[in-house]
Amino acid sequence: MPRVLLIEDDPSVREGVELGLRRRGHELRGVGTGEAGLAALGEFRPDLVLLDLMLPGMNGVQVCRLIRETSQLPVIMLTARGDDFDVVVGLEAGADDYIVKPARTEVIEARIRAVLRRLAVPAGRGGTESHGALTVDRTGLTVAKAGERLLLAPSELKLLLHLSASPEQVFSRQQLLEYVWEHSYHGDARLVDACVRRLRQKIEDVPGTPRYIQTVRGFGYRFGPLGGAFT
Amino acid sequence: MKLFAARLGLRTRLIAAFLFVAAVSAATTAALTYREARSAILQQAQDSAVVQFRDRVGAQAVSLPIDSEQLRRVCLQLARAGGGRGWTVFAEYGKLRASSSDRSSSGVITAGLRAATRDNTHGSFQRVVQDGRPWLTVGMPALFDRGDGRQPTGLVLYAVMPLSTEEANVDAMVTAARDGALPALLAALVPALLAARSVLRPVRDLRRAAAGIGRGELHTRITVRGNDELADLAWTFNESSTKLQESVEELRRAEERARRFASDVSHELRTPLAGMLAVTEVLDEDAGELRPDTAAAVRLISAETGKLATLVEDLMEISRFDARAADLHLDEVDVAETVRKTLQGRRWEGRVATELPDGVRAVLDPRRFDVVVANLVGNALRHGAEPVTVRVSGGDRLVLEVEDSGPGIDDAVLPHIFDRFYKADAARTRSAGSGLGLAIAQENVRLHGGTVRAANRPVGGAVFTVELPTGER
Amino acid sequence: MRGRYALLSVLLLATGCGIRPTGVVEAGEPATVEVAPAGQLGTLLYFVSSSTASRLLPVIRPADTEVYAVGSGSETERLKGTPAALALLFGGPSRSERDAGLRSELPSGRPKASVELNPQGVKVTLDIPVTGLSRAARQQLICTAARARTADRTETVTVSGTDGVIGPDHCTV
Repeated sequence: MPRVLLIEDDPSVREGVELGLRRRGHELRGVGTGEAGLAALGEFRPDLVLLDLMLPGMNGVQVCRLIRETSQLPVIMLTARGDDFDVVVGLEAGADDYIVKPARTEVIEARIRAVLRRLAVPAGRGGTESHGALTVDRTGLTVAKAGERLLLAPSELKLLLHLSASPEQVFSRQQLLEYVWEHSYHGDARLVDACVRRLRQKIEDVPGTPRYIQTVRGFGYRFGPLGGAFT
Repeated sequence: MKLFAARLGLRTRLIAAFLFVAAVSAATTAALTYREARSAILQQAQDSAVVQFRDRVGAQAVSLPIDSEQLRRVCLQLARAGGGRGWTVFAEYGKLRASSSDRSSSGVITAGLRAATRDNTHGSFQRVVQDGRPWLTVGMPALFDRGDGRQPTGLVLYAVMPLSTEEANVDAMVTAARDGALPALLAALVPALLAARSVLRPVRDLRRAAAGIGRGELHTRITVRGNDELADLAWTFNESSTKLQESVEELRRAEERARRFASDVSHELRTPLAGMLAVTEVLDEDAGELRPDTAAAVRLISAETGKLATLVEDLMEISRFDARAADLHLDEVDVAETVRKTLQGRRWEGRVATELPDGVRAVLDPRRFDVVVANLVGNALRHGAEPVTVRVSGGDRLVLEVEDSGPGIDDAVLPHIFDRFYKADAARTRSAGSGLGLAIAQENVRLHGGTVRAANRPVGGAVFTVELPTGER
Repeated sequence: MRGRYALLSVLLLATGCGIRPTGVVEAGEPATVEVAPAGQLGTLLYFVSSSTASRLLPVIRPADTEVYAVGSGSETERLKGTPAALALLFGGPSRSERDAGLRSELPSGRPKASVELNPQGVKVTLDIPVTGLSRAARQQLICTAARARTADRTETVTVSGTDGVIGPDHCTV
């Protein structure tokens, strides 16, 4: 069972979520501030962080950014809907998903499982493949660009693997939400857009004119075609 | 005339009145001046002609009786003496007649003048217009004095002269009066326009200000100039609009407070609810191990917590609409797929019939559209009766119909069906819905620039129709 | 609409009236002419004309006209003064006077006339009947006699004939 670090300042929410998730078998550590959460990372070694955006002192977005500087630890933000601006900033900072409070335990757990779930490897497509300067290792779940390994957050990695598994096929954002995030079809497409932006920052030569992850206006995204230069 | 006045603007009427007064003044002045000048001109001409003729006649010497030759000579001498006057002289003596022209008698001299001249011992004149030409005729009896008082010689002389010079002068005067009056009228137009402007400017300001108030620009005020009736009106207008503005601002503040309160309450409720909702599962699972009463109480709390969470969520949503903080995240989608996913997500596929043609695409916010479809279908399932049908058609506008087979909506309820917390039956029985579902659906449709309406089908049951624009916004 | 009326009246005033005819207007003194011969010379006789209100017109006979009385005897007496004037008057208008339409209403002939001046005026005695004379004829007599005797035609004159007396009366010329 995954180890979850919950960073939430409200004691009752923290206690309720702890109670619910522990009963489902998760190992849980709850802390009240971002500083305490960062300190607990090394000692508790969580598999996933549940991060409230509204924290006293260091806020959730800053905590998320600090985590992303050093690790690919999955991060799910806890937010109240309506704090739209926070959601966008949080996603830009590298969060993999978000949950709107109040939420039932089963919803929280479903999201945790979805983020942690490894993408099914397509049959006969194991091992390493190259797309231009990118080297994707579907078994080892690593991506390198020009031989240099890239640090990708789980949602970024899953999105890249999903898109590159079917080069040049267009996926709508609703489809990507369902496949990659296991959200409902009507979920928040900004998750996809923010993740694409982050991914482009890391893999594209010129993020403004992407080669690998291209936008198909009115439909969604596709991987490639790359053209001749690097193949 | 009333109609005539009503049709013309204030400006036109003011200017017309001004011009009328100016025209009457100009005309009266011109007419009086003309009359005076005309009589002065004629008087002068007549008097000098009479005096001159008398003098010339007085310079004549005759012998009595006068024979026709002498008579003719007198006429010719007088005609010459007339010089530039250009008069024609006629003479009568007894039954003799002579003239300075080749006709011995004139057609211009009237019988009245002849009688007056013959029968009196004074001169006479008469203006005669013949064939449109004015003439001056002067009759002059010639008397002589032998020391015993003047007595008539029997000689009577007439001068006939055309008044063409005088006529030309009078005509010139008329022309001058006319040429002077028209520019004067035109000149009167300038003060007329200025006066109209000075009166109309406050009126126009007032109209503009009133239109501004009508558009909701309640801060509109008029500059009060002077202290006439229009200034009073402007002052009253300002006073009224200040009051209006205060009232409206007070109302807005009250409404704002109410909305903020609803929003704050929902916000505050959310945090405790987050904790509670997270543990309802625990309650549900362990209820079986409790005493029956306790278990029932625990299950009740768990269930109501869920409903409370839904209610708070809906309240938050409504608050965002009220605060105009609701955003549209548009995406181009396949409408049939979107509706199908909504039904699947709620596990309603088995209970709802669909007529979803392929290939209908629309630019909309999928999450909000999901809410619209879900709320309408949920409402149909809860308050209507199955079968419930969802029908989509494309075209210029996307049309979505949700039909049920229930009793339909009471006519009294129909106008209020989208009101918040409006319950069809007065007993306010609670149902699974928060009472905000249709209101939220309507707000979402409006956010898309579309419309939603409710109606009863002729065959029974209610139908909700959503129309949305399909293109980019 | 009112403005149009105003314009109309202005135009009427401006164009509708030029010089208008008048009735007969009295215009002061008559003309006074010189009558030849000048001074008191010549004899004024009054004849009838239809061209004046008084129906009488004066004519002047030269002073050197010789008039003779028609006596019963062979002696012919040259008349002077008033009787001469009256004799000329009874002689009727000359040719040129007749041409101008002058006539006499006195009977033609050469009645014997005597004239005397007394405080009541001029008294003329004729040897013909006078009461049957017309008004114009009486005025001819009176004006000519008064003028001839006193050089003032307005002097009172009494005429007595064989059948009665006219006057005293004035010359109305």
